[in-house]
Amino acid sequence: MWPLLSCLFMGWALGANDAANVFGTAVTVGVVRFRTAAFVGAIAVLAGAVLEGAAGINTIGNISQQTAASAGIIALAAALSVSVMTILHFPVSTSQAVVGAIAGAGVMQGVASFQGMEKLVICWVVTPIGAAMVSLLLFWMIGRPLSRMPISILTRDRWLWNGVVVAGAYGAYALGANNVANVTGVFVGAGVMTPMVGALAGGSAIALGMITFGKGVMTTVGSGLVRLDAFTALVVILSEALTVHTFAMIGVPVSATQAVVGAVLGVGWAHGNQSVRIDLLGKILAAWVGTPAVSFLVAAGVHAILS
Amino acid sequence: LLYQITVPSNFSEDYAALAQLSVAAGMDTVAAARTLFSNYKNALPLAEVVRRKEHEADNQEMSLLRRIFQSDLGLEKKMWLSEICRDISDIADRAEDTADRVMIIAAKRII
Repeated sequence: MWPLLSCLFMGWALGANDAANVFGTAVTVGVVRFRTAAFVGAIAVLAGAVLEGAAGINTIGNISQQTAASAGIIALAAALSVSVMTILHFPVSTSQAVVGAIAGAGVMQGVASFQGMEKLVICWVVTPIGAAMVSLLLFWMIGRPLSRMPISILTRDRWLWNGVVVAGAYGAYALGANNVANVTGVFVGAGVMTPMVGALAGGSAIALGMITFGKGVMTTVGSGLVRLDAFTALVVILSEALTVHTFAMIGVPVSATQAVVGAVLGVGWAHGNQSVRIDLLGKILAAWVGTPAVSFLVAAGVHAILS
Repeated sequence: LLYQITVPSNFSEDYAALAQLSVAAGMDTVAAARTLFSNYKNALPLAEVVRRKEHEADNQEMSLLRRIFQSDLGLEKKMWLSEICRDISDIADRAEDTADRVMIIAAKRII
């Protein structure tokens, strides 16, 4: 029972953290109420997980063969690592945490296999870069025609904020499709559940996290970071959703948070802000290396204690 | 009405010109604000026109004040006339402040 609980805890934490990426700006500004955002987001996450989550689940499930107990250790280690990295304010990726934990548990079991991981690592690096390029592209594709339209500021803002809500729903769908593999992928690989049950259980856990704890994270993001205007918010959320959805179709779980950071950098460049924030890039690089490393060590430690 | 101030005839044209310029700045500000609700990008050139008119009104105000205080009028009359001059010019100043806000609202939305 505890392995399943740790997997659901992981999904809950993921939903609570990533809700802010897709609906944080709209809720903070007051365009949409938290209840509405959470309800729409939960349904979209579940739909994404069930309709398009199988590819990622298979990728994670096929990295290594696990038992129910070792799958539980991996989920617990990944959840603990995500919590630690979140406390340290790193743009943490549950995908990296899960893969690091799989490697850690594999080493302790003596069945470590790093085959297929290079594809995941390449995709992690590509995620923020790809999101930045998509946001640059969207900035001009949406911005150019919008600036030529003879419209009032009220119409413009209404269109953009409605777009932000729709993009948020799409982002939640992409999140469910991509990240459900992090929650139940190892359990499907261990034969504890079928891919469909895994998608349903994982999607439900993420949705529950979004509904029960998403508000606090959204408020923190809204008050702690720079508030985005409607156009920037639309470009950032849409870029993040497109990037994460693309990787979901390929079957590689990636970080929605790192995609958002990349998209914000892209919009900054489009605005003519050529300076690169070294501290932000340093944090991404540290998260790329640190998250799987911490997760690796925690999984190895938990495995050693429990066995 | 209480003080029965009359503008000497040699200043009346200057006062009329300053009043017309200040009112024109105010009307242009109204037009710029209205443009926000039809085609907000056009608000920027209109707000710029208001800034130019306010600058012109400032120059006229200074010129008029200089002439008032160089005249042979009594000091109390000079004080009254200068106060009226500043009050009229204030219309243009307030128009410019509002136009600046209109400009910020529009500029924030231009990509």
